[in-house]
Amino acid sequence: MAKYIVRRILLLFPVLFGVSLATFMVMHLFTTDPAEIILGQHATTERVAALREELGLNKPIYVQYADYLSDAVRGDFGKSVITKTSISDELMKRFPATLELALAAIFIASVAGITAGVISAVKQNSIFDYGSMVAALMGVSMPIFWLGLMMIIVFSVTLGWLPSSGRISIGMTPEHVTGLYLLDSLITGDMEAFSDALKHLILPAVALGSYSTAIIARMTRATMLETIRQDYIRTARAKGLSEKVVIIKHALRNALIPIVTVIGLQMGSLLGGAVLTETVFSWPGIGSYVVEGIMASDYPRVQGAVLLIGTIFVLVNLVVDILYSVLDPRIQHS
Amino acid sequence: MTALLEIKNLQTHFHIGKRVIKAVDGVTISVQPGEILAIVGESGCGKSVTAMSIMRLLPSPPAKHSGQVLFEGHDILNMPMEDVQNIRGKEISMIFQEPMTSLNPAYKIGDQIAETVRVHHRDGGKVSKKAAWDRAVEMLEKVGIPGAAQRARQYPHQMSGGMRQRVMIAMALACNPKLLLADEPTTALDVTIQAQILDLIRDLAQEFNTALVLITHDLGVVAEMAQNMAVMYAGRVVEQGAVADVFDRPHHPYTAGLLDSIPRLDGTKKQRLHTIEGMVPDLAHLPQGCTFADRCEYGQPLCRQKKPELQAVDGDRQVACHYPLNLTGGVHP
Repeated sequence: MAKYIVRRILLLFPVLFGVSLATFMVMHLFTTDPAEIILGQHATTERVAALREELGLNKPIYVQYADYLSDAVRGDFGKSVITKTSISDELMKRFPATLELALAAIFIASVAGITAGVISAVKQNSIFDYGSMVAALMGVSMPIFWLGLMMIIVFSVTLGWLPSSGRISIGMTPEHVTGLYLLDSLITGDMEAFSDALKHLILPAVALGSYSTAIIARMTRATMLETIRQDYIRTARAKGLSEKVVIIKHALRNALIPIVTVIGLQMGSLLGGAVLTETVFSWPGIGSYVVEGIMASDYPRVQGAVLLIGTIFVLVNLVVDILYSVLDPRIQHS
Repeated sequence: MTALLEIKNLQTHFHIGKRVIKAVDGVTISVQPGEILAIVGESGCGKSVTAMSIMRLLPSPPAKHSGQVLFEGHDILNMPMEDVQNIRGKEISMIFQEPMTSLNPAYKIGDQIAETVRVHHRDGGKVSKKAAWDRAVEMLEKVGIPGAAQRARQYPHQMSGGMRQRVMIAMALACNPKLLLADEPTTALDVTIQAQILDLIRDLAQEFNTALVLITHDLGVVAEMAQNMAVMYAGRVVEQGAVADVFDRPHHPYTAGLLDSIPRLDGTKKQRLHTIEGMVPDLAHLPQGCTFADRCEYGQPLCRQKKPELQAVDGDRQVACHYPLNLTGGVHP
């Protein structure tokens, strides 16, 4: 097992190398000259050339990449060409916001998705089954930004129940421990901050989790339908177990393996793909940082953020693979 | 002596769309405490469905039961599900045909046996985890699994089919049930293992004083194991009696046909094996008269008009035929 994990971690390096190379190439070959963007269209050729020199843009591309990579390996993603601040610092500051949002979204999606999927499978062809599968179809088809806007209109503007933007009200920010506001406010016992942060979190988390909820619900239903027809489920019933134990302990446990895969993949994409949600809800995370970076042609920013997102994605997948062997004793990583 | 299990006119019909499949269509069987009864018949005759109906294991819908399944005088078919769950695994246990898929791949076999023990001691004081585990190991020893204490910690995929069927037997008998239903327990196993498993089931049933209903299509197994037998055809019992009697003097033409189809060691080389002509009737469109009439060598006009009921003949024997064979008193037309 330990051997397997070490091997998987070693395999991460070529993947991350590929990710870094791809983002670097895309930002350098297909975008307009950042020096021109920064200086505006009326800048003189001399000033553009001087800025190119300063940013190292006139070096051969492979040298630029080598410079970038050697810094990135040490956790230094360079400075933003617009704000001149350290990108690594900014990412570190924003990462907890993205993580908190993604965790909340995946939590909502897993609980709602698995529950709906299990009930749909057990009560196949019932009204609940049809209803939840129609809802799931809507969930996978609805664009997040549209759903987010509708939720803001209904719950923030019309009903006024929940705030529409930001992580927390001004002046309420809890003492920094982990950077996750819910956790920090609980640790420091600041219940006011906790409820404020929770209110801010609900709408974006539901919007972000809607797609994953739908995917998880459909996956759970499909695997549960297959599992409850297995012979060992009949054995479990023949032993005299109650239906609840049969479904949860014997069927769901076996159905979980593909579900965990989906949850893991969704978690990976939630961490990286919160771009739209973060923009709609003005959530100060990595997603909105990337969007601002793209708008401003701030290429080091985009490179750094994408590399971070890529790293998280492959790490989440590694965790999922390790979880398999815990869930299914037949899978042995040797 | 009161019967342990009394099935009276059990009907299990599957309603699928507009079709009604009459898988079991009027089965009457009784089992005495400690008895070994074999239910014989070809594939699709309703023997497995009968066993599943006794424990109400069929999904309903589409399955619909009528008639009575009296276990110690209580009708299982009309019980609240909770009471059925108290009977399952504790009073009546079942061993299935497919040992490879009948155990849950996610749990250790010891835990799966212990679970049965723990679930059935909810009322009379809780059994500790340790005690249930010890019982599981004890049962694994009883079914002849070497190194039971270590084996209990293994998962089903680490065992062979024969071993898994032993585990199923251990699980079924862990709570000392009064009745064990064994649904073709050796069909999926190697021939060399079959005899071992059958011996094991018979010996343990005797040791635990458990009545055994053995479902099989193998007349050799019946002769070896059972005291009494019921022959099923197209969802009905067509003949019942003591095994030796039935083998000696089959009253129903179908039973006679089955017995004739067994290859014999003393037959001549050139002799062709006897077969029963024709096919089993469609269970969705059963004929009005005797279900066997179309294939019967001795069929009469009456056979196609009126369904013969199971009736006592020759003392302890029962047969559902208008013109039974080999009666001591009468001669077949």
